[in-house]
Amino acid sequence: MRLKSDEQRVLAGNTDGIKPDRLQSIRKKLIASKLLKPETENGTVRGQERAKLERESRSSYSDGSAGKTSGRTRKLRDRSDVEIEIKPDDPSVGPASDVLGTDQGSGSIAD
Amino acid sequence: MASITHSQTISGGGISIQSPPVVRTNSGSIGLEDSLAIAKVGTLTTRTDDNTGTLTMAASHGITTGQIVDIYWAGGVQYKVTVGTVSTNSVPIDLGSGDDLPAADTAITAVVHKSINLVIDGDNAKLIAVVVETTDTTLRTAAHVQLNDVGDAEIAELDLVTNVLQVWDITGGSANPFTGNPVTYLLATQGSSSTTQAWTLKVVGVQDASP
Repeated sequence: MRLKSDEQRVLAGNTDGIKPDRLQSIRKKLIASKLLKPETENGTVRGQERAKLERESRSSYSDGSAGKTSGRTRKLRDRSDVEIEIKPDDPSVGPASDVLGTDQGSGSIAD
Repeated sequence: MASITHSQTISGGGISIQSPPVVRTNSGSIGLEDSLAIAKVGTLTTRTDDNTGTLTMAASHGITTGQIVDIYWAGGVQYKVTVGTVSTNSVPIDLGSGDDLPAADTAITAVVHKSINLVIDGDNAKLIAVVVETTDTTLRTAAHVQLNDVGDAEIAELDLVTNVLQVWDITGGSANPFTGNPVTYLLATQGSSSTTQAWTLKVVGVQDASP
């Protein structure tokens, strides 16, 4: 694939004098061609906003943990708590047939 | 439903590959067939910077003040170039995109682009094929198509070689250069000054019209 002069400049990090819509088009082409990594978006306002959101998201955990893995662990733990609450033998959640979504007398599960 | 069938045959070194036809079907068809203008010959007599200069065109070039042209030379194209105040055969140019202008005194061709309405929502396109055909199918000259959205922003631009088909089988895994806002029109040119040829841009494709 032949790169035009302005595309070569963008690849080298020089965007001077390139119209905004052309710049966006070039970046898209270079990314699609795997010549430019999408991470280079971090230099743009959009990338900065995304980085800020990620920082805020990380700092919201009360245990002070950072990173997506910790957040995912917390979510899984919360989900486990919910499962404990809907145990069929727990009188607070009604008869087992309601939990299973079946009518009384359908019986085949019990068999 | 619109359906596109695409097949390839490749042979060399005593081996032949005949791929089974690829069929892409969806609700929206993409189709275009339109003629392109003949380019006019000239010279880049003044090169001010990478996209500013003055062309000296042959007589009867027909380019007028304020038009938008594409400029071709051996090994490059600069497109969407704004024409300044034309004085007979002197044509000032500015603000183009693409390749940097060549050295002064380089032979060029210039052609006013043709605006062609065509709606392509690249995000929902499944297969798109583009070609510029000529009367003599052995010709391999340059052509260019810029695809723009309703706000005149460039969504993609394509360097084409006449009679060489370009296919993006997006469903089949081709990188999709048409993503973003829907394309509403094309600006198309070809760079040859031959008066014995007819130049025809063809676009065929299929897209999901109700995503």
